[in-house]
Amino acid sequence: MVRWEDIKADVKEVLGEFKQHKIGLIGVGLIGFMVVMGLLAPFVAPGVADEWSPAADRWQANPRSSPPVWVDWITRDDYSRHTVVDWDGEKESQSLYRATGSTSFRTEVPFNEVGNSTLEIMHGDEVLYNHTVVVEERPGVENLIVSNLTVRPAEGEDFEFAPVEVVITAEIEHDGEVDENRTIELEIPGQPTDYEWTIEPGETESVEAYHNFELDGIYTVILGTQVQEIKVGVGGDVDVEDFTLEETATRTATMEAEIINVVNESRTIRMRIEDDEGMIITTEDWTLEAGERESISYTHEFPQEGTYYFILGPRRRSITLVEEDDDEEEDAVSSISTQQDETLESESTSDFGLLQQDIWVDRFSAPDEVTVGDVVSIRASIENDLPEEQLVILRKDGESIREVRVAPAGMIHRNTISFTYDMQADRVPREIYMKFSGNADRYRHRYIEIERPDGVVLRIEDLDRGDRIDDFRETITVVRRGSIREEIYDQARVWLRRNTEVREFPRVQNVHPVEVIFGEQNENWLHDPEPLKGEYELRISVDGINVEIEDADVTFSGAVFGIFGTDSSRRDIFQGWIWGARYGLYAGGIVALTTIFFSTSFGMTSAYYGGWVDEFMQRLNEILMGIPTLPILIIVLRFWNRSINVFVLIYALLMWRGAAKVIRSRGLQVAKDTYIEAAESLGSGSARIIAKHMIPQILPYSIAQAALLVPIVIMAEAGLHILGLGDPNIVTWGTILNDARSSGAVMNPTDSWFWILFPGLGMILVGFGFISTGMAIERVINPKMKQR
Amino acid sequence: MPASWKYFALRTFNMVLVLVIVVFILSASFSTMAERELEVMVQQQVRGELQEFEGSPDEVRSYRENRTQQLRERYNLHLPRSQRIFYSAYDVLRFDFGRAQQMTAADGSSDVTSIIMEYLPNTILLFTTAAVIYTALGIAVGLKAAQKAGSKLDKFLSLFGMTASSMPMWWVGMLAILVFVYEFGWFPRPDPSFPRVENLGYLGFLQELLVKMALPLITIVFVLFGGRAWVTRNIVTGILQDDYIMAARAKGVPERKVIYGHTLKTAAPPVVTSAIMSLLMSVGGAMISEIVFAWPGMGYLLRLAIFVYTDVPVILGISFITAFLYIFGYYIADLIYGFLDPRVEVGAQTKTG
Repeated sequence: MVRWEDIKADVKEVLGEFKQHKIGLIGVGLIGFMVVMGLLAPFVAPGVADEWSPAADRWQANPRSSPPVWVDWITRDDYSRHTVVDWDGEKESQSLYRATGSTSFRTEVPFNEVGNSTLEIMHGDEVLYNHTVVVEERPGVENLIVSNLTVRPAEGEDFEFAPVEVVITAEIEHDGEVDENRTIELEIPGQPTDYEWTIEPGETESVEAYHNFELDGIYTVILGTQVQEIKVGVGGDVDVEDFTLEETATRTATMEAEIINVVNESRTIRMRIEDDEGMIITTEDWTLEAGERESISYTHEFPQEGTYYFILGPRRRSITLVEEDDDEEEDAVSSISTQQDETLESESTSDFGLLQQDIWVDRFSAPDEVTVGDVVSIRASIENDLPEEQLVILRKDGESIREVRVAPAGMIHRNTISFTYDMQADRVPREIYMKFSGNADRYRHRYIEIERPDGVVLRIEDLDRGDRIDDFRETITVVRRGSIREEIYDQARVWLRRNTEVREFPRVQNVHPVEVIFGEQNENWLHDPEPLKGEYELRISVDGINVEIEDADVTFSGAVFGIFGTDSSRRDIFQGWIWGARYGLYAGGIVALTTIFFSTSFGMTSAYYGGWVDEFMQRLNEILMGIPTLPILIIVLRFWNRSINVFVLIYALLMWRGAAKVIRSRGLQVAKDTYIEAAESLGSGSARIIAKHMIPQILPYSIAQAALLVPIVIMAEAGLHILGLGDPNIVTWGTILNDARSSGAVMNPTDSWFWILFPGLGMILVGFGFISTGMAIERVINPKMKQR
Repeated sequence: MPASWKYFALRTFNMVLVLVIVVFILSASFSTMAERELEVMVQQQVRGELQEFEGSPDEVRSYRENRTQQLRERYNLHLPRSQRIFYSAYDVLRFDFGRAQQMTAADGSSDVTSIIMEYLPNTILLFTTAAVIYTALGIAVGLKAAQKAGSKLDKFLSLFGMTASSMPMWWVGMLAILVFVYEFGWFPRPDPSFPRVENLGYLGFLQELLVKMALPLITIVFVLFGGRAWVTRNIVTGILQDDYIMAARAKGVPERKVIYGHTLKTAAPPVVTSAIMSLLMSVGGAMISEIVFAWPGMGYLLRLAIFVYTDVPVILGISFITAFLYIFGYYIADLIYGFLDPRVEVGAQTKTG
């Protein structure tokens, strides 16, 4: 039986002594502060642990690489603050011209039956256009009979997502009518294949071939007269439009696209990112309901420079990311390649021009002759002069294969909304974000104008995205590496050419477009813009029919932000930091508690029993002391699971060994103390003696030992992130520092000193707290070390 | 002295035992956890080879099958797991880590051992130099502080030692690079290429090497010497309060002699052992610092193998070699302790601490 009063008295005595050690009290205070921080994390920064990815929505409106807000208070320069200007709800509308609605589309159609095939574009019951395609027989190889052609995936069961490797099997028989070998080739239109087989007279051969389909699509596998059609992934069921890929930050690429489900069932399209060796880096799925259209965007930060491929269903784009370097000649290069763009043998393209009709086919292109098994691309554009949206259907031999909505005709209005921003800072905003959404019967262009205090108007004429019928939701950003920088750059350069002697201009990638927007119009406009203070008016215009803007705002992202600033992916460092405190203390705390438990029980048992038990346990401890931690961490974390709990488990199992040694030698002294002998002679059981007399004396030692371990655990956890072995699903100080390291933060002192400094300071605070507490406890209990 | 021999034999036996146990733990973890990864690795390699392979479908098929089987045998995947653990442990104990998947040594060889041997000397060079400097400096400053316990130097040292012990070395490295390389430009940019004697001659090589080594060296010494001085100071002040020192002082033995004669003799074993132990403990931190400084050592290689190439045999090789070095270092520390401290005996009576 342990008497609570005894323990209380012991604790009281230790505490009383402890209070005399100032540094120990500071340590306890620090620990308390950090624990409070860790406990507050879910309230101060809810959900951050799960959304630390640079692509998470919550960071998108923050400034990039901004120092902390308090830098503004301690420096002479005025930093612009993060400002969101909401739309005041007023809209100016101006009618422009009347226009017909127009919609273009492209679709892949397979032809698998010999004979004539009719393509029709229907508007209700009316045939707007028809076209006949002659499907010819595929010439077989003489004397060879192909049978049992099958195509199946090499692994797994289905062709759900590209890339798929397929196994193609067939039997080829030589009819023996000529005494000549015959050679047959495997054909997959649009795909390179180099399989060919030579069959001797009278022989029958089973053949097997492998092929890898990299992109979604409808493919035909042709062997002699046999044709097998397969659909990989979404095939042609989901259209991909406006597929763009852009470098948006250091080693970060953003993909944007419009995906449209053109069939009457839901479909899932997969995007995958590959490196230039074809290794899949990540995948992301989107599911579209029947007929649904969605604008998608995906941002990925890569651990290193290189060429990467973004493959979205049937389309592929590549981007080459290089670290920002002034000597770099070329900007990010992106190129497009689609597999369906093969040349057709004969193709009829019709341009019809204006006809006096309500709705007509303006352009149509399809081949006149195909060979059975071909999959061909059919393109058409349709004009609508009716005031309502119309539905047209592409049919093949009476069967509907594609439905298309055509925008209505009508008066196009330009709808303008405006925002004012008073810029009075020496350090201009870092970036500008414009967001607006709404709906329209038809929606086409958007323009942006910025009127400056000096009367100069800068224009951003973004791409004409073609007619849209649905709701729209747009985000336009003026960022350092964005596509808009050229437009701003060109306007400034034209002005400089006309009005100044300046003839040499910095390269566009070295100019920050926002600095130019807010820059004084003088010789230095491009080289080193000086801020022009005053009121700016930013106008967004949208052209279309019956455009209703529901929501709009403009963010001028500040030159300072938050308590610890933001990193190069706009993440609020403080929000990550506070979670880092939580996870650090979690790991350190659990290891400390298990260490107290294991070391005390191990050391005490060894000390109390002595003899061969002690001998055996000492040998065991020596073996444990010799086990290195790092290799175990590397192997377990790398090949099994990188969860922080696995890390904690390994440390909990290994770290008590040193403390156990100290506890044992201390325990030996305690065990020899006379009153224990006395208790023993009075007939107390050994468990009772250990629990009642020894543990209270020993506990402070193991607590002191465990406290000294906490900083070691926290530093080790952080270090593992640098090695690439940290838990990828949470945010710790190590996560933040590894991001900083791999983004080259050390190379930009002014933009990122806070990114590196604060996570490390967190570790120092916790470490100092625990070490000084542990030292103070040791001084209290070990009279030899009492100095002051 | 027979007792010493007994001690030596026991330590050696212990070391071998630990070595075997560690190798088996690591092999068992790896064999169990990396099974799927290895299967995928084999498939990928065969697929890659097939892309350059030309032949009839039958040849392709037989190549595919043979090669897969060959590679599965290479990684012992055809064996039951218990045997696999045994074989992989056996390979490791023979220092056979196999061939790297993608990485190669400078001479083009893909033998894991020769790849690692290319990087290991750089780690040893940096770390040993740093260790010599910070240990000597730490012990000297620690003795000084112990002599003047309670003085300003002593108090500052305690504070500095505590703070430095809670700083990750690689973080200090990042700050040092930020400030001294990119803000002030005092040191060259971190760069993994290494100076070569053939190109620069011995003098040029040495100069280049020193310039390249300066910042990592300063960082390691800065972070570790405070803790070392502080620990030394604590051990020595503990001894200074022992009765026999008090007696010597009371007898009028000069202070210098008390410190360097009586105290150092007693303090040497724990000071030296704790120095070696802390050296072993800081290997992990030093390896991570190599990544930050782009110093082409084991840590840098490990990051390449994990992050850039995903090269399983190299990761494995580094783990085992680090383990060997640690175990060997620990063994040496034990031997030195026994050598320095005549009181150390073998058996249960050993007074540790």
